[in-house]
Order: sequence, then C-alpha cells, then structure tokens
Amino acid sequence: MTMSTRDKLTAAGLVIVLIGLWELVCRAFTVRSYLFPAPSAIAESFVDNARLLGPATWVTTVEVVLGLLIALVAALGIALLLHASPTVRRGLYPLLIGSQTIPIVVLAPILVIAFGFDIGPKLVIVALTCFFPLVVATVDGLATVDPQLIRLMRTLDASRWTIFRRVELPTALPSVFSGARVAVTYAPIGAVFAEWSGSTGGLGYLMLQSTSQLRTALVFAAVIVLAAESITLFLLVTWLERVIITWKDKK
Amino acid sequence: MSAGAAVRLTGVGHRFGDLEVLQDIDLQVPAGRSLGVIGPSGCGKSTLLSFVSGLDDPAVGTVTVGSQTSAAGRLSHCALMPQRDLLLPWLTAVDNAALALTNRGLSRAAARAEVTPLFERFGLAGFELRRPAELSGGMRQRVAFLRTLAAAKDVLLLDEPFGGLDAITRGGMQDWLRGVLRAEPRTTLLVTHDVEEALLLCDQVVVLSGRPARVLRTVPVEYTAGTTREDTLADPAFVALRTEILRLLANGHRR
Repeated sequence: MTMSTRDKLTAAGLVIVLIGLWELVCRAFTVRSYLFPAPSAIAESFVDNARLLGPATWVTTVEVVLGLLIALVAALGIALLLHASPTVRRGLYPLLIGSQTIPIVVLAPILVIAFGFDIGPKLVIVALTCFFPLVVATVDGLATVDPQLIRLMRTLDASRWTIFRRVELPTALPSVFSGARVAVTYAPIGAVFAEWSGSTGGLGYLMLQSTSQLRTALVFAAVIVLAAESITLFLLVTWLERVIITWKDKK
Repeated sequence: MSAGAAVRLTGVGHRFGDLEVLQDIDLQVPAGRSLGVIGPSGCGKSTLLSFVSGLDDPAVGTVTVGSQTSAAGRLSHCALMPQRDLLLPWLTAVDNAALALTNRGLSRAAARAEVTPLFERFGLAGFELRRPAELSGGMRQRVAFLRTLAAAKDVLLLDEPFGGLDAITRGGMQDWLRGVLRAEPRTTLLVTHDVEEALLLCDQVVVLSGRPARVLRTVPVEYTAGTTREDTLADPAFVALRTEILRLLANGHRR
C-alpha cells in the first residue's frame, strides 16, 4: 500500500473527472433524480438527511465493529486449534471450507427468523462473513513457522507456550493482518445484508426504505457512507499493522 | 560456568526410512575438550548433533551427556548453534542473545543486564538495540554465538557455524572463536566440512565416511600455532594434518 504523491494525485484527479462527467450527463439529458441522481443531488440529500444518516451509520457501525471482534476471537481460537492438532485440522478444515459454499444471502433470512429483528442475527452474519478470511490467513501464517526456529527454541529451554508467544505468533501476525484487511472490507457488506433481511435501523434499513420511496439520492448517499466505512476500516488495519509489525521493511 | 560435561556416543546408528545415515558411531569428548566432526556433505553430521543435543533420539545406540542419557536430560546440558543464525527478526540483538534467560522466566531487564557485558567483549557494543536485519552477517553470527554462550550450558554444539559467511568473514570469525574457546574452554562438538576450521578450533578431529557414515579415524590435533593465521596455516604439522584428513575424506568417499 505505498502510493507516491503523483499516484495519489492521478487517482484523485480521475475521480473528480468521473464525477464531473456524471454530473454533466445527468444535466445534459435531464435525467430524473429518482432514476439516476446527479452528484449534486446526492450531496444535497446528504445535507438534508443528515439526521437520518447519522443514527443509521451508528447502528451499522456498531454491528460491524462488534461482529468483527467476535469473528476475530473465534477465528484466532479455531486457527490455534487447527494448528495445534493435526486431527482437528483434518476433520474441521474441510468442513470450514464447505461452509463457505452456503451464501450468506441465503443464511441471513433464516438467522433473522431464528434470532429476531434485534442486533443478534446482524452480529452473527457479520461475524460469519469475516470469519473465513481470518481463519484461513491465520492458519496459513502459523504454517509458515520455520521448524528450525522451534528446534532452536527447545535448546534454549523454551516451553510450548513460550515458543508460541515468541516464535509462532509473531511469524503469523503479518498473515493475520492480511486476513483482517479482507475481513474489514467485507464486514459492512455483511451488516447491510443482515439489515435487508429484517431490521428497524441501520444503513441497510435506510436503503430499503429510501428505495421503496424512490428517494434514490438518499440510497446513493447511504452507499457512499458504507464505502467510506469500509475504506476507513481498511486504513485503520493497515495503520495498526505498521505500528505493530516494526521488524519488516527495514534495512 | 563449568568447563563442561563429557559427551559419549556408543554404537549410535540411524536410518530415515530406507536410507541408513549413521552406522555404529562411537565418539568421546572429554569434559572441557573440543572435537571436530568432519565428513562429506549429507553424511549425517547434523543428525549426529541433533542426537547429542537431545532434540532427537537415535534408532540404536546410546548418547550420554554428563550423566544424562534421556533426550530431555541431554537437552538441559547442551546449547546448539545452528548454521543459519536463526535470530528472531522481531527482537533486538540483546533480546535475541538473552533468549535462553528470558525463556527460563528471568525478566527482560535482568536478562539484558546479564548479557550486555558480553556485547562489549564480543565487539558488539553499541549494537544491543539493533534488529537483526540491521546487522552484518558476521555480527549476526556473533549474536547467535552469544545467545548460545548466554544459555550457560555445559556443552557447546556448533553446526557449521560459519557455513553461511563469505571466506574473509569466516576466517575472522574462526580466529575470534578460537580466542573465545582458548579463554574459556568448554566441551565443544564442531560439525563442519571445512578441514582448516576443524583443525583451528578443535583438540581432536573425527573423520566420517559418506553415507552411511562410520568413523574412519580419530585424529589428535597437534601443531605449532603461529602468531598470525597465515603462519598457523603454513605450519608443517598443520599442513600434514590437513593433507591426511583430506586424503581420508577422498578415500572414504570413493569407497
């Protein structure tokens, strides 16, 4: 994720040109706002509906963050189990991969039926969405540990726990962060799916309501907030990785 | 730190699947003495060290370190220096050197205090807080050796300790280690395929054959050390020993 200033400027310039074109096309052909709103209409909708967007963003963010934390704890736990026991690994790993063939979209309504309209099923769905990339990355990371390092640590009187803490965990960390970057970009999508399946608040709920009322500009505004949330989480994880993993990219 | 415990291998043999690597090996290192183990590449020298260290057990034969014959008992007596330095990239040089101490439960501050004087002695002063990636190959190897020494075990096991270094650095490191072992003799087993290295560092050299490795001969090392490395290497007794060992290796290989 290293971009030169020039790259950044080019990317920003491209976005501005695209938005300008979009605005131009909408005005030139007088496209109706409920069919396809111009950027200016979306911006207007942002300001007008701040009191709707604010609370909805909060609801979705809580679902995303809590769901992510649940996924992280569960994924690290299961990954350690898979790493520690080859038997568990042989039994559980194929099941885990198999579980990914069931689309969350299908699962979401069932979970809502089972758990109701409150935050419970949202957390389950967000956690399920984020769990898989985290588990796979962590298991892969733990598998890259140099066996010679473990043998060396045994000659240096290290216990099993010490070997895990000082060798296996730091080796796996960069991989865990890669998984986390994927997981945090999926999490808001999971939350919106969950809200579509039955909810009384959140960005997904707001999108459904606005769509049926033909307030298309507000739908776009909600989508932009959602994208911003994904990007923010991604940058946060990238920053955290840079703070924690200080031994890489150094001369 | 004591001068060390004696190491004895009796009738040690081993195979990996159908591949017999070691056959009926008898070896002895008296306490405080050093033994070089020389043999062709892939003859099972490193495997031999893993048996002495207690990381593994041989299929047949017994390995005794001090009074210990069990793997765990041997492990408590032996410090192993691997060919690659295997420093942990996420720890500073001083924390890498102090690994054995902190692994045993000593606080980081206390462990650092114990290891830091060694940095001065080994020409690493000022590099304590550097990460391994910031050190040169020779320095990394010295930190790895420091880590082995700081473990304060009775027996040093060196597995081609300078194999990964360039010839000039390797020569310097050999002279340096020679000085360290002279100053503080310890039971040392040095595995190498560098005949000069074995002769420079050891009291005795054992020559192994190719696979399955057997002991071809045990050669006592006696020559007049010169004031410089070049003088020593040119000493007639040194040259004769080197020629004898090279000849043994060549014959052992041809068979």
